[in-house]
Amino acid sequence: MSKLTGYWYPKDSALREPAELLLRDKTEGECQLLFENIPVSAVGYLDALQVSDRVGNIPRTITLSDGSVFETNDNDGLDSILKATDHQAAGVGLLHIMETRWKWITTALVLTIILAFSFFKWGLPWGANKLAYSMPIAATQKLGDGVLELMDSIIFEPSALPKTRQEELSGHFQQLTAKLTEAKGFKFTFHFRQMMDLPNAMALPSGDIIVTDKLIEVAKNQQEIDAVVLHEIGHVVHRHGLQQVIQSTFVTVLLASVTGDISGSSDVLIAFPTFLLQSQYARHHEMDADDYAFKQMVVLKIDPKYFASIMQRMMDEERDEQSTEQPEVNVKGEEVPETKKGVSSYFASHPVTSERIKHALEYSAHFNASQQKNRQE
Amino acid sequence: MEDQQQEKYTLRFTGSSSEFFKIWIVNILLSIVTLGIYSAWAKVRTNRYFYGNTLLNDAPFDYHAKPKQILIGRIIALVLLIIYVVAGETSPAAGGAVLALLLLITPWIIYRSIRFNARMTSHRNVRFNFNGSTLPFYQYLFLYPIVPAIVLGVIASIMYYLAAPQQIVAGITVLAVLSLYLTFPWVQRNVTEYVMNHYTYGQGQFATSPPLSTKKYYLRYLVAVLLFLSVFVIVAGVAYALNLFGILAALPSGELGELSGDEQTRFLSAFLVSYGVVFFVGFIVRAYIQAGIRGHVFAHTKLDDKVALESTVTTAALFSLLLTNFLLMVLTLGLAYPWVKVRLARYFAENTHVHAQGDLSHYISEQQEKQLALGEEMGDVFDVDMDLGL
Repeated sequence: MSKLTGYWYPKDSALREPAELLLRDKTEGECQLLFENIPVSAVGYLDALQVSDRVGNIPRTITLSDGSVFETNDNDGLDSILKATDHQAAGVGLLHIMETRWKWITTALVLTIILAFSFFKWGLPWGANKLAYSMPIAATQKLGDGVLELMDSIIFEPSALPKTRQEELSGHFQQLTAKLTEAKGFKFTFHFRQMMDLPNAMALPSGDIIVTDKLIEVAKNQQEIDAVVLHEIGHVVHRHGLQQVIQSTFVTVLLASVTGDISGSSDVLIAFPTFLLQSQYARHHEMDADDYAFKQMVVLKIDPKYFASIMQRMMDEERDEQSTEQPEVNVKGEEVPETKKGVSSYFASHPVTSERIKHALEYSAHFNASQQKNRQE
Repeated sequence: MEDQQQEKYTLRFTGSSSEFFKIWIVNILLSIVTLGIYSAWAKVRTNRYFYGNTLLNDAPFDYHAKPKQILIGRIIALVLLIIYVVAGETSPAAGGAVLALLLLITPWIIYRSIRFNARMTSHRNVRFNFNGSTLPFYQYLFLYPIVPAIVLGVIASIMYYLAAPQQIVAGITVLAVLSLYLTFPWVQRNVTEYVMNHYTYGQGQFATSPPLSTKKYYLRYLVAVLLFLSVFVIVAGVAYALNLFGILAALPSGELGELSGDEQTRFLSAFLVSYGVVFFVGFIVRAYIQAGIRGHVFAHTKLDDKVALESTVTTAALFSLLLTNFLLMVLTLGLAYPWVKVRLARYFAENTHVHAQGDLSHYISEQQEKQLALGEEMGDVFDVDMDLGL
């Protein structure tokens, strides 16, 4: 088919006349415009004319050399003419082929799912890690400026510990940090607060480490407190806060740009996977901080079992805080062991406490075995 | 002239969901693979698909934005988004400052967005345009709405210093805050009026005659709000009757796990049902507002006083459309999006009519200088949209 039926508009005008476009010479690409089968003029050579891209079956336009426009519904006819004359617009037909063949679509779908999955699971954490470690320590500690003040105004109350005790503890912690591996160059400041009578500790990328009074109260000895503080230091030294920021920024930005033209439901559809991903990344960091704590405890000759014991006591303490002295009961009245969380633990940003305790005890066994060996030698 | 017949043309939409589904899937896949760069092409293709399949008197519309200009706009917008996100994560003060800045430029974004979309749209080879300016957007969106709030705020402070009773001061303060919401129909009416009166098609000028009625806007919102509130009150009343609030209050630590199994299921199902009812009514209210406003604005809008618009969108039909669309989206986890979009396009096209004497052949595009897609893309990325209810 080398004749196209359509409409013709003078340049910039809404005047719409039925017309035809005839391809006179395939090799030269010479075209002619006809009105009611009467040729009007040779409109030029196709390869010099602007042709709009094909999208589905919408009418397409050819802008002629005098600025007038020929519009046609005959997409297939136009496509065959473009191919016959080797027009550059013929190449864009590839998109149209992808958009019309199910074979292409399913292939591309599978490929993309694999790519996206591996990127989010491995690629992004790796990238964030490399980027975080490439930054100077001073820069990484800039993050979290002002957050402590914010938390003081929202969830923290001043500590009830006597000043001397606070200074004693701070001094002790600073001594610890001097002996740590990987902590060189990092500055740490230790703060004491109360947080709704809960035992807790947290670290900001700036090196501010906060310990609650209840944690100190619940701990049976200095080693248990040290275990928790070492975990927090692990977060700072391994730049977890910075990695989180990089990862969440990237996820947010990528999803926003990909789904940029999806409205309405996109808010829910974006928030959910983002939330899932954040929880995953966070748990990975928690386990990493645990490992750091265990390794440092071995270096400092503190038995990792103290990590296990303080975790256990904190878990019991939290349970007591929340309800009566009953174990967790589900809808049917059965006891729910903590490990049976299934879907809900996927959302939890901390790995299940009993797993962490088990891990600590494994390290402790190794520690004691090597201590034994050292004593024997 | 007078002797020409008045013709009524109904818009037609010739696209199909299955056809668009494939385009949409490829858009998403390529966007992901190219880390978002293809999204500019995706947007152009989507708009061309919907514009090109919308016919008025058998002549299509067209969308002329070039992917490259969209891409540049997107990149700039994304850089700003990154700054916003990082600022928020770094320090609360920085986050607040960036947010304030973004709020400040929102009217400008809306203006640029409207203008860009107008200029990139054509029908029968002639382009639309928007010849308004930024200032009125600041007036209508920022200045005028906060005047009542400021006046009331000043009154409240004066009363406070005059040691007026606490309740009066508190009441006036609440009114001041409320006034920001109460001015919304007025704001929407003003912005719509301004936009419609500065839209052009070729050398033709759109105008509202008579001007849009503020009273009609308020009436429609009032009925909608009353409807919503009464349903809310009924639901709350039923919950109270079933003593659901009593049960909640009696829990020692507010944990649902405390309740017996039977009480739990009763509470949860009642909660879900009431949530669903309120949600359901939300759709009715949305449909009611949109159908009414669209009908009113179209009935008052004319091109060169000769071409009139008409909307026959009804609350009932729009409501069922919105509800079924929502259910489809939820059930298919978003995969029904192409169906939803096509259904909406078809419904709105079939309920948009143009009354004209003769046809539009005498219109000619005006010269337009090139425009960067920045405002439009920022509006897109930051999800800023002035809902004119059309």
